[in-house]
Amino acid sequence: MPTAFNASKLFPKDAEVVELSFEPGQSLRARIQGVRAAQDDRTTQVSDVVFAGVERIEMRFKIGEANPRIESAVYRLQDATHAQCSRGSDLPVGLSVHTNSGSVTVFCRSIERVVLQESKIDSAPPVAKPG
Amino acid sequence: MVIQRLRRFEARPGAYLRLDLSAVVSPGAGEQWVEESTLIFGECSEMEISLRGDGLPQMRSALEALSASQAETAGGPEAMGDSGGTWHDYRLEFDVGHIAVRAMRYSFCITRTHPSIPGRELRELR
Repeated sequence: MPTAFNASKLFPKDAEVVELSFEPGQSLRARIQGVRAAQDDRTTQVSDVVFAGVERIEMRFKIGEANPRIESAVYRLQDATHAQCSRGSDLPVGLSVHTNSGSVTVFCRSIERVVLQESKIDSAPPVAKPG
Repeated sequence: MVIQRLRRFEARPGAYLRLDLSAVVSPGAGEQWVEESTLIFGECSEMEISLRGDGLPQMRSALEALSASQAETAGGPEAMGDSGGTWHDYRLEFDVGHIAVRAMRYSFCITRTHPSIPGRELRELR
């Protein structure tokens, strides 16, 4: 069910949008990058989120800032107006991701896949021992 | 008249916007081939994309605004001139929406033709 999807987990606050690529009528691929810290452990997370069956995309970035930082992500069922244009009962869902320099809203059939890569960040360089 | 269709775009906010286009060209009677090209806007400060539908968007026009006081030049991608290191506003209208971008420069090249035509090599317009 669409409501089970937690947009803020897929697009966590302060993560960065690195790249968006879109093939009309097919898929939207978003590359998200962020750092997760848990106690002394810090990891870099890079995820590729692929949305399938994209029917509409609205995107606007106002400032020439590389890697816009995510402020919020909202996932919802499409509005009634758009529903009238959709095919069958398999209604697309909408996802809006807001960043510090712009936003992306996409209506799609489904989230096809999420690929997450994690790499550990060394917390401190090794200390040289005397002698 | 050559109809350009948008096959794909790739956006790196603050960096570049790349558009992959394709067109069916008829250079002579009974002859028809597909031309695929790439349009890259570099050093983008703003980008706005609004597209809907589930087919390949068909490009209606491409405009470049040199500044607010200068007239816009209509035509295809070939009609857009050198930015010369200043911000230029580009706007591409499609049958299902538009793409607008403020960028320092752009490049446009034909990357492939099909079927292959002897003697035709990679052509870069800028």
